[in-house]
Amino acid sequence: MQKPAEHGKGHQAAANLARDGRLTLTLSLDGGMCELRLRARRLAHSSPGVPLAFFEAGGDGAHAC
Amino acid sequence: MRSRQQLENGVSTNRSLNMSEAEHVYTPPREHSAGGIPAAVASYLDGENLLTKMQALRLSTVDAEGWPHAALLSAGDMLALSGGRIRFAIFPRSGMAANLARDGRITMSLSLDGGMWELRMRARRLQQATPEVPLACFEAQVVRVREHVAPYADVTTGITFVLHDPHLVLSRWQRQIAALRAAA
Repeated sequence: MQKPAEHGKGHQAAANLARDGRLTLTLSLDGGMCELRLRARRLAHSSPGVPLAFFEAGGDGAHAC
Repeated sequence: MRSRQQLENGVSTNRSLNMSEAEHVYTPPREHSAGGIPAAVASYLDGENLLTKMQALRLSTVDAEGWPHAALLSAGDMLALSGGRIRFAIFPRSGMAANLARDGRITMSLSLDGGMWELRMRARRLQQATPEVPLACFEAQVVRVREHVAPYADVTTGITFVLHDPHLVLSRWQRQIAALRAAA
């Protein structure tokens, strides 16, 4: 029987953010690619019905390419 | 390489274990044998039928400050070779070229067959191929291959694009592919 993942454990992205909060987000919009550089921190929030780790990331600068 | 049937079987297996299909259970990426290029990726980067290949490949490098740097290339800018090697051509003054000169690590991702392929590679610069293709040519050796799939959904497409003038671009791509083959 496969066990549900514990909060934030076992996921490489969560481990990387715990060590280094830098994150780059890209999204295709309006014929181009929007790139956002963010710095993330883990939130203390947890929810019994949502077995995930919560993060909040702030913008370091947005670049459209 | 997982076939559609294998993916469906995987979903069926997970269905039998989860309370519902919507359960968000972490599924680690599937590791594939190191050093090889998955057949579907090799086919996508074989330098042929380029106008049918409208998915951009996402390439990530690390800049001088440690930030992830994202770039997009097309199948007309890249070429898979034997021995787990992938060559690509980029602007010599690009951020990506500078990052690779400093740190040859690069990660490529591509959506195929319901999932996302992730290839970790180490790149080295090759000599500039020809004056007609004023780009910097690199050759990357695959060191790790992972396949990302979700039990509750299939990835249907990656980043796609539409060419403004396909025939003009195709001509340039074909010159680039020829240069990548010839590069030493």
